[in-house]
Amino acid sequence: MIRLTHDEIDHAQLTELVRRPGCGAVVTFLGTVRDITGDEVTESLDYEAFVPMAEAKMRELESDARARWPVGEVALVHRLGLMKVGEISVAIAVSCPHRAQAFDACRYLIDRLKETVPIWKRDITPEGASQWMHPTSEAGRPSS
Amino acid sequence: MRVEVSLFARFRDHAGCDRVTFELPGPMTISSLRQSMFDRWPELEQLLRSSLFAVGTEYVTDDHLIAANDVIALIPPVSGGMK
Repeated sequence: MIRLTHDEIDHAQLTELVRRPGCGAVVTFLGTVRDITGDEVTESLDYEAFVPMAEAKMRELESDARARWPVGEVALVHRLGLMKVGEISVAIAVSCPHRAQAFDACRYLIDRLKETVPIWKRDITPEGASQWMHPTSEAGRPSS
Repeated sequence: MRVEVSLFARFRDHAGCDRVTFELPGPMTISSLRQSMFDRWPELEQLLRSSLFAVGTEYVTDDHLIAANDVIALIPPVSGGMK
């Protein structure tokens, strides 16, 4: 299951959603808005996506993970819009028969999502200054 | 030929719109489209170099020959993050 949403992510519900009798391991990863990166203070992050492509790439990631590990169920959810420090921007829950598979599949999904899914974040400071975070861009702060 | 490109994030803010049009004589590859973007936005050259292009919902390489009905998007580096 993949989803882009503007609503708060209910991680407990996602974790419950992937539980299966044949799966003895469930791993849930949450990406949350961090307050400080390097010596820069973040007040909030604003996420935007190229929605049809992001959904297509997330579906591909789900298929890739299912091809590589005996996944029972997977939930891949990214939130869009404005989020304050501490809020959940991304959640990935995976169930597999054994824990090594579940950890590996979850790690693969979040690492690949960060590389290939067209979702961008704008960092907003307490003073109201904002900047798009494009790693390797000339004016970019260190990416989070 | 005339191509329309969807913009996101910093490119969209810089251009002040979410879609731009480029007109070039003859067939165009992604590489020649990228070059026209350098010409229009020299101040964004480095960001353009590290950006990708998509046709529809698929990434394409610089040698992709643009077809008349291609729906093109400029994809700046995604949010990434330290592991």
